[in-house]
Amino acid sequence: MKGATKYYLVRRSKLVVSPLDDPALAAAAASAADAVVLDVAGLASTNRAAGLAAVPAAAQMLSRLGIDVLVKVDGAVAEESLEECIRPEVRAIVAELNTPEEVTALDRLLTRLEVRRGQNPFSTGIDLILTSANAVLDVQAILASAWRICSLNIDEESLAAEMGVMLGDRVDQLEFARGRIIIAASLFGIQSHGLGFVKGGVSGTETLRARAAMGLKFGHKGAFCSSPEEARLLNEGYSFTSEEIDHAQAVKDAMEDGLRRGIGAVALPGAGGAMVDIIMLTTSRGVLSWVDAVREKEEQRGYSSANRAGSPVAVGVE
Amino acid sequence: MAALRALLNVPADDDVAIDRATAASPDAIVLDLGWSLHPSRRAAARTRLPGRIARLAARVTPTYVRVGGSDATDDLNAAVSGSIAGLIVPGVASAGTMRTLDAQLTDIERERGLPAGSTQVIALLDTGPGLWWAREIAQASQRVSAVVLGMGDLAFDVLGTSEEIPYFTGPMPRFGAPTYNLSRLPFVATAAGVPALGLLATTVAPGHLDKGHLGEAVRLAWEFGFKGALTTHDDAVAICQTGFEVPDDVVERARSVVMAPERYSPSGVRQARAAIAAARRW
Repeated sequence: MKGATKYYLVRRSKLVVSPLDDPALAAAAASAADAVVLDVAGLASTNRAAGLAAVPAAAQMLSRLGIDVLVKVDGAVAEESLEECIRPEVRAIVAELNTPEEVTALDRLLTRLEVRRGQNPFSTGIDLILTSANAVLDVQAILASAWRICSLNIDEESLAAEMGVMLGDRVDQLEFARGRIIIAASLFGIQSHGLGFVKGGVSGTETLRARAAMGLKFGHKGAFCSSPEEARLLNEGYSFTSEEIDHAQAVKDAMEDGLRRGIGAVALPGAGGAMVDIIMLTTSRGVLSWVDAVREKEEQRGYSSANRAGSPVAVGVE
Repeated sequence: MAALRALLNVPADDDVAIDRATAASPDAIVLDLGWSLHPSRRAAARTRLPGRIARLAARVTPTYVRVGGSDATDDLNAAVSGSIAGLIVPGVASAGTMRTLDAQLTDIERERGLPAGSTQVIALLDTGPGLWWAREIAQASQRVSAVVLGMGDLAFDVLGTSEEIPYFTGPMPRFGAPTYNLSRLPFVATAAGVPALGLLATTVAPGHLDKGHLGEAVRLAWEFGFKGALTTHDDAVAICQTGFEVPDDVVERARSVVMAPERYSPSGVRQARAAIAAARRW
């Protein structure tokens, strides 16, 4: 029987900041973000060199706090400039790439740089963002082109622009794209990241938390954000509630007991005779694995996040 | 390519319907040699087709001819001319079918002294395989200028049994439209660089036009990325032409983004600019 996946990647919130913005970096360091993305690609071209030069110090500062550091680059970055980003503190490169050839080119570049800097080859991941309809359709070929891809995202607004629509809250206009990358990511054993769709009527902070929670239901494990407050909301949304955790534990206990007794389906105690089976055991193990991984991450970061069903717990970093 | 928000389908042998269709000012008229014609009337319709096409050309109404299928050789021979905007071909279920059709049309064009490849094709995807292979079909030939979601016949193909079919009729299909599969078509069309035409959540079957539902269906289709629809109803033309324009509330929202770009992501601003450009283009 399939065992539970152990999650090595917990990046519920990927907080995007400029490497040249010291106050933002300080706020990111003090936040609950699981990961910080040093956004070199978002800098004006005249500031890119300075941004890349700022990466080492920023990465060192953030990684000491248990934060996963990622660096976002674009196609225009020169090989010698990217070399500064290849260091143990930088866990992955974030890039918008839309073809297998583009991914392979970055993969080979990263390998050359890792070897040059004495790092283990393939130690730097790729957090991949798809921005075109073709890329969504070709996602399997893209994921097959480099196994250092650690997570997969879509740029919703770029896809909408290409299709000539504007995203609203009446229907999930990107249901196809979301579903496709979740399934493709699962096929390749990597995480898909992104927000789910919540039909209209939800606004403000509740929207983000609700979209994250919906994303978790569909299989996403995190998303990009732009403020420490958003990071906190994403962490909450991508964490299971106490009820969900209790239910998963109850299913696991009941089914494992049943299996020991040679039974493949059991009635869940205290659930009005609801039947649970092996598939639900697999699901529950997955839930509990994610819970364990999140707990480990938060212990590493020195805090525990708010429980969506219970009383809020103070969030802070020592 | 000109806007194709509303294509009005009429029987190819019905001059009264053709005149009425012209008066409705659709983006294009579709002379149907296929499902709306009784088989016994098709031969006569083919014979008189060139005259009807010429009459419509004189009125500057873009004219398509809907043939019986990709293997309807008689229909293709009757329809291919320099005066039509293109063909609408139902039942295309594979890239191979499209390539075979492409070769057949090239032969006809050569015989008539027309430039090779000048006859455009709108692929009507009305079967499960057609929808599945949509991307390959759209990319199989340079002639493919659009793809159409043939919702009605697709439903029959999917449902299969005769007992289920009666539950489909009417303006609101009673089987759930799987939006994952159907929303795939605009993605495929976008990737192929052609528009996707079609409606979700309703068919516009003869005698079942319901304007309220049609307006909602058009808005829903637009949101998913469809750019127009094929209809049999004169009254539906204006609804489609309006509904497949970028909605006013969306234009306003897009303008507010473009006017304050610092508040939005670069891709969000791009999205807004694309919406405004689409509004102006139509």
